[in-house]
Parts: sequence; C-alpha cells; structure tokens
Amino acid sequence: MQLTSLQFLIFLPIVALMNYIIPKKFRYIWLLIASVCFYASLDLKGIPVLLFTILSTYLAGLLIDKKEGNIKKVILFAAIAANILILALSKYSGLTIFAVVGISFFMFMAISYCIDVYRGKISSEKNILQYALFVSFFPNVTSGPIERAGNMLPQFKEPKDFDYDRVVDGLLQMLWGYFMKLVIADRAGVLVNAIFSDPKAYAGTATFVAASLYGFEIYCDFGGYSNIAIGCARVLGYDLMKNFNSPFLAGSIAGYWRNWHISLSSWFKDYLYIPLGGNRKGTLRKYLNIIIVFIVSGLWHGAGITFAIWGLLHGLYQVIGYILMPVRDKLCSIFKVNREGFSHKLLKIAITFSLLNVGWIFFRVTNFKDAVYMAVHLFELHPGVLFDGTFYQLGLNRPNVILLVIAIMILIAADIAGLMKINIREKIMSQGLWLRWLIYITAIVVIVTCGIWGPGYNETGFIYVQF
Amino acid sequence: MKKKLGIILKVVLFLALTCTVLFGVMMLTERKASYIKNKAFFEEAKKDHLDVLFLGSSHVINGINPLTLYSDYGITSYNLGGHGSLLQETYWQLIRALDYAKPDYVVVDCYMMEKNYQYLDVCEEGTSEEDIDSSINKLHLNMDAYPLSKLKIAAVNDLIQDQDVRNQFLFDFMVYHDRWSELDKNDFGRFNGKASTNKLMGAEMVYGVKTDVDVYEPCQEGEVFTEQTVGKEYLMKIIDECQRDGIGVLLVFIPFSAQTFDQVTANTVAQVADTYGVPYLNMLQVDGLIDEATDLNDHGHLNAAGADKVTDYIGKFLSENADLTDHREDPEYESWTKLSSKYKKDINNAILDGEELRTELSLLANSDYNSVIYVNNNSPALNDEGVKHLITNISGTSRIDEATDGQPYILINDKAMGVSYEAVGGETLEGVSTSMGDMTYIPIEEKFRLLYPVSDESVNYLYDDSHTEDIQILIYDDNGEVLSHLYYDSLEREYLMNQ
Repeated sequence: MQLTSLQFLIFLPIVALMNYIIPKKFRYIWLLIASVCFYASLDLKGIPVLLFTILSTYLAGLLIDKKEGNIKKVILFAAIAANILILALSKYSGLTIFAVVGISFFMFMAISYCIDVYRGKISSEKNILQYALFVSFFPNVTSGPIERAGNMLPQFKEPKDFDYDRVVDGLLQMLWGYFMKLVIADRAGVLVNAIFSDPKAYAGTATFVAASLYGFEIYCDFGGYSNIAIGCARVLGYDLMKNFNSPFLAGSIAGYWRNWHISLSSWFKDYLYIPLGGNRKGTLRKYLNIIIVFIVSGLWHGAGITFAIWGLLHGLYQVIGYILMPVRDKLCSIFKVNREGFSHKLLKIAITFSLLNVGWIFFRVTNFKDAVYMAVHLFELHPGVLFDGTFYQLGLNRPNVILLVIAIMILIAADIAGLMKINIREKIMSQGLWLRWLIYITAIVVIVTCGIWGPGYNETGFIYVQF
Repeated sequence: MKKKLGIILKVVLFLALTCTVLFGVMMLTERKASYIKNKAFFEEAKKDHLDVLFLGSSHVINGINPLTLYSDYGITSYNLGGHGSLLQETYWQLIRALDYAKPDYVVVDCYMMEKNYQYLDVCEEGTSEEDIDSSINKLHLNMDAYPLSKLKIAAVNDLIQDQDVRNQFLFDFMVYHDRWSELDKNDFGRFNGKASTNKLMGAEMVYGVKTDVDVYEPCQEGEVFTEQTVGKEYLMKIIDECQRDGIGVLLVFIPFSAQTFDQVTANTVAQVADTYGVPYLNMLQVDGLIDEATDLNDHGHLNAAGADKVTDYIGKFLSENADLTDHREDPEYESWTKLSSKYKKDINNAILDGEELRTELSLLANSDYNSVIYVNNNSPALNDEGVKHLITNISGTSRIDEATDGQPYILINDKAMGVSYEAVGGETLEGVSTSMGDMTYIPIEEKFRLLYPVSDESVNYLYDDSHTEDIQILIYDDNGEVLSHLYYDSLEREYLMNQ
C-alpha cells in the first residue's frame, strides 16, 4: 500500500475518521497500529529492523538521560554505531534482510533523537508507544520528511481538535502532491527513461532536455511524495516539516541545498557538518567539511560510485563558488551588474539549473562510462530535436508532451508564487464555494484522467523509496 | 452540532458532485468498441425484439448477418459473437445477455471447443505475452458495455485469474483514462446519443477476398476427440442453461479453412449435440455451401458473400424448424426494415465505388447489377487464378481460361435480361442484346478496342485517353444507364481502383 495506491485512498479516510473519534489521549495508540499495518503492508520483513531501531534508540535515549559523563557518549556512540551498521549493511552488503523500506529515513530520525537527547535539546521519551509512533508514523516512515523528535513528540502528546479548514488544506496539499507525482513525474519519466537508455543516440540537446526533465521528474516524484505525506499528516492533525521550497529557482548551489530535501540537508548540517567543525575551523577545513558532507550525502542515496561523484560534484560546486566569489564580485563591479535585477537573477537560476543537470546525469545513470559520455556531450547543440518530433517518438504522443510542458509551467508558476510568499491553498480556500469546488473537482479530474496510473503502472515506484 | 451537520452535508454534496463529474469523464474516456457493438442489443432487448441470439467467436461476428436473416426470413436476431471468444466466455455472454433478452432460440458456434484452459490471462503453456494481452483486450469488447453487477464479477472471476487484471474489467477506467489524448467526436457523442454505433445488429461484415485456398489433411471420417475439455464443459453448460429456460439451441460450426484438428472438433460437437438431443449444423461438411476461393476474407473468417450464404443456410433451418415469427410485415419492426434497406444500399454504393477488384468481383457476383468486365491484352490478371476464378463465378463458364498468351477477354453479364456474352482473343460480339441496347465489341489492338451501342457508333465504352489500366468494369442499371466505370491496374496484383 503506497501513497498513490487505491488502498491508501481507502485506508486514509478510515484512519482519519477513527483518529478524530478516539479520545485524544489514546490517539497515538490508534496511529501506531495504523502505522505498523501500513509499514507491514509495504515490507513485512522490515518490521524486525524497524523494531530494532525503535528499541535500541528508545533505550539509548533513556540511558543517555539518566547517565552522566563519558558513559553517555559511549551509549550514544553504541546506539548510532549499531544503527549505522545495519544501514550500511542494507546499502552496501547486498544482504536483503537489512534492505528494508524507508531504512535511511527512519534510522536518521531515530539517530537525531539520540543526539538531541545527548545534547540536552530534548528529554528522553518515556512512553515507548509514542516514541515508536515518532519513528514509524506512516505518512513519513518510507521517504520522509526526516522529522525531529522535538517537533513530533509534543504533537503526539497534545493532538489537535478536528479542524475542517485544516483537513481541507491537508487534502489540497495531497492533491498537489498527486499532481506532481502522477501528472508530471511519471510522465517525464517516460521520456527520461527512453533517452537515458540510449545515451549515444540522444547526445547533446536531447540529453540536456532529458537531464532537465529528470530534475523535474525527481523533484515532482519526491516533492510530490513529500506533499502527500505532509498533507496526509495535516489531515490527521499533525504538522510535518517542509521538505522543498522552490529549489529550482535557487540562484546558487548552496541556495539550492537550502531548499531541496530540506529535512535531509538540515540533518546533515546539524548532525554532521557542525560536529565536523562547520565553518568554525578555518576556510580550508570548511571546504573539506563541505566536501565530506556531500560525499556522505551521495553515499546515503546509494552505494554506486556515481552517487559519490554526484555528492562530490555538489561539494565542489560550492567550494569553487566560494573560491570564485571575489572574482564574481569584481566582474559584477566592472560590468556594473545590478545584482538585484531580474536579468541577473534569471542568469543565476539558469546557470545553477545547468550545473544541476550535470549532477543529475551521475545521479540517474548507474554506468559510469555512460554518465561521463552524457556529461561531456551535454552542451552540444542539436536544437533540431526540439522541432522534428523526436520527443513524440519516445513513448509519449504529442498531446502528452504538450500536457507535460503545461504541467511543468504550472509547477514553476506555483514555485514562483511560493517564493513570493503567496499561499495558493489559502487563496483558493478564501474563494466562494462554487469557484473553490470548481477548482477542487477540476484538479481531481485532471489527476485521475491525465495521471499515469493503471495496468503496468508500478505504484511502489517512488524514486526515493529505494534510498 | 449544527456546524457538524453542515460539514457532513457539504462533504456529501461535494462527493456526490465529484462522483457525477468523474462518471461523466469515465463515459467519455471509455473505449467505445463495446458500446458500439452492444447499444442496439440493449435497445432491441428492452423492446423484446430479439427472437434469436448468435453466440461464438469472430467467426460469428463476420459470418452471420442478422439484417440478411431479417430481410430474407423475417427473423429478428442479434450477433453477440466476440473476437477470440472461447466457449467459457460465450457461456458468460449468454448469461449476461439473458439478463436483458428473452430469445426463443440461441445459435452457438462451437469453434475452439478443443481449447482446454480456463483463464484468458493465462492461456496455454507457452502463450506469448502479446497473445495474452490480445486475449484480455478482446474480452473488453464483450464486457465493457455491461454495468458492474454480481454477474459481471462472477464472469470476470471465472475467466480471469489475476486480481489486478480482474480489476481492469470491473473498473475499466483504470485502463481507459489515458484515452484523454485520443478523444474524438464519437467519444463525445456518447452523451447525446449521436455516437455512431453498429448498424448490423452486432455483426461486422468484411469484404476482403482470399483467393488462394489453404489445403489441409482431412481428418478420418467421424474422428473425434474424447478429452473432456473446458470448451466442451462450457458448451454443455450453455445447452443446460438454455434447456432450463426453455430456449431452443442450435449448434453450428461456421465454415472456414478448417485445419485437421478443427474438423475433429466439428465432429466432436455432433456427439455433444446427440447427448443433449439438440440440432447441429456442421457447415464444414455441407458440400457447395461456400467456395473457399471466393467467400473467405482470410483463413478463418467469411467475407460478406460467405456470410450471406451461411446466414441463408441457418435462416432456412430456423424458418423450417424453429417456429419463429416472420416480423417483416409488422410495423413495430419498421426500423429493422429500414436498417436492412440501408445495408443493401451501402453494399450497392460499395459496388459502384469498387475500391478493390477482388472485392468488387465478389460483390458483383451476388448483386443485381449488370456489368461489363474487360481484361486487356497481357494483363497479369490473366495469370491470376484467383481473379479468374472470381470472374468465372460471375460468368458461370470457364472461358476466361482460354485467354492464354495475353489475349484480351470480355464478359457482358446482363442480369436484367438473364444473358451473358463472352469473347476471348480476337473474337468479336456483334450487336448482342443488352439492357444498354444492342452492343458490338471489336478488339482491334491493345490500345484500340471498341464497345459501342449499335445505335450510336460514336460511343466507345472501352476507350479513354486518360486511362491505361488493364482492367475495366462497367456497371449499368436495367435501363442501360451507366452507373459506374471502374479502372484497375494489376500492378503487384493489388488491383486498386484508379479514379
């Protein structure tokens, strides 16, 4: 039962209805039962691993809270080491017993809990069921957002009352998530798969388009998932952290990372970059820390060398960006560039987007040689492919390609609105009933009609589920 | 409390509105093949107009024409044949149809009774994925038009093993929603009833002519198979069902290029018919019923000419044995008369358009039109046994065989006067009597040949500067007015008509 399955669309209303019927102080028990059932439906064999993570970190939290001095550090280290070992085995050993759904996500949540207790940011949780719910909460257990105990545990202790507007808001966010996933991501995936499966035939502009589309595919796949998860949690009365914030409108790679997979980026910042010394130990050490964090981030995604290169590339982008900053400043001053001007911002966005495209190739292609070939030929100009119907021969007919382009434009418009702090959901909800309902029903019709689903569709196919 | 009720009301209203819109979208995007095939069935069944139901595979769809049966015998029927339908699906087709219609007689074609597998999404061992997909796809033609019901669920569960595939039949929007990118006028016509639907009471006539005859080893006389196949089991269930409901059953085996095992199956059906005491027409064994060189569209399917013969054969049996009412004079069945006339008119128009030579010759043989067929010197058609056989079928003689060494050939076939004239090589026809008047034919040379009415020698029907094709067909009515002049090029033996 994935978030895009029909079963889930039956499961959620039942869980939500019961959630609001059950007295507040018992709701976490109901949600834990629902979460365990949800997880078991996805990966029954993953239950022992999930249970191990819950128990080991729960006990570690209690002990860290009670003990003093070095013993706390030993307990913290032991808990982290035991979980990281399993995580490493799941990713790099090929042992399928450890390769369970959502492991990278729920373990990071559990580890962050231990560290936060150790740092004294939060107290250890005494109620094991509430703690278990934090680690296994079904909206985000498989693919995040990687939540923090400090945000979730208080919400489980003090559940909110039913709020109609809040539920509608959550449903709207879910709808947007489904649009991103089913209408954009899975449609873009058809073209991306066709082009990436034959790098030599589509070298140059077609590859550039495919890499860009892959960017949108993965954004809409993961961002769509995140929206569904966050919306779903909101329907139940809980707030999950934001995971994406118009990332492709960032004017730098560092800016991109502040807005892309925010829960993971901030996790690495809080629990790896800062402990490594962050920017407090000199410029060289700062650069080294950045490189380390991004290589680890690459390896978090997978064992392949291409993931490590993708991480390294992003680290280098930033280091080079910092090194070249004086040069860039000088050039701006020589050419009297208005850094606040639209043209300059647009140029920065375009350059950042192009750099991301090089990275996407290494993220997407498992064969290193193919990835290098594609990256080398990425900027070769063959604009003819844009007009000769090539893209209509790759598994999508003309109306589907046009729909994809329109849908991406809607996405960009929504992201621009987000950047301008315009809350589209709020705007919609403030309209009169007829217009509101017209928008809702149109959205539902577009998603169920134009979404990619049905026979042959793999509903477990969220890209980030594999990480 | 009041607020809660307001919310509940709003939610219910919203869901109802959304469901209504989605239902409309489902109707719009649904593949219309099943609707097109079955719309008239539901309408006629509701009026209790259907005395006979024809069931079976595509052999039935192409082989039996309810409108011919009506115009020749006054019997009202519906062709419920399904592409690729095995007898288990035929059984369920019957059960579904009986929910709507109360026929007096059911005619079942027993093709593929030897098939011994239950599930259409599994098929036999070694069946390719492509064939399984095709099998599932064809079942949609029969199923989609029927609304979701316990019966439909039972049928799907019986025919399909995989739950995911079953769901596609119970909730076909999951298959058809992505048709949004190919919607056309006909899809929107579903809402105002203007979508074009089947006008042959479920039948589909095909007009190709397969002139080369497949030869198979004949089976031993009376050879049968003894295995209790799934097909046989479901045939028995069909008979049981009909007998229980007091519906007459006629088993048939519609003719085609039957392989040895098909012949064995056809013999085996006789055993089942005997066991149940029901009549059986094994048309593979009826000498002279069809001509495999003119009446087949392809290896397995009759063309319109073949369908006419088979329909007539069954019609004769039913009119003599089934005590069915002749509805031709009943004003309630006026729409049937109109549809039959329209079908005939369409066929006549197709003859006048004459897109392809073989089809043209096949249709001409069975029409009332008078015609002149001219094959010029050195025409490759004179070496094409298939085309020559089709011409022989019209002339009733084998004189065209004399046109060896590239000699020209002409046939004037005047059905109104009941005469036909042929000339081969340098032979002439002098003032022969036709509906166009007395005609003279003189083949002087390849590019200069004369066919003119004696009353006006300035006319030459065979000479036209703008046409160099080697075959010409002239169609004229009983008053001698030329209705159509068709020119065919024998290039690559495609025989396509040139304007």
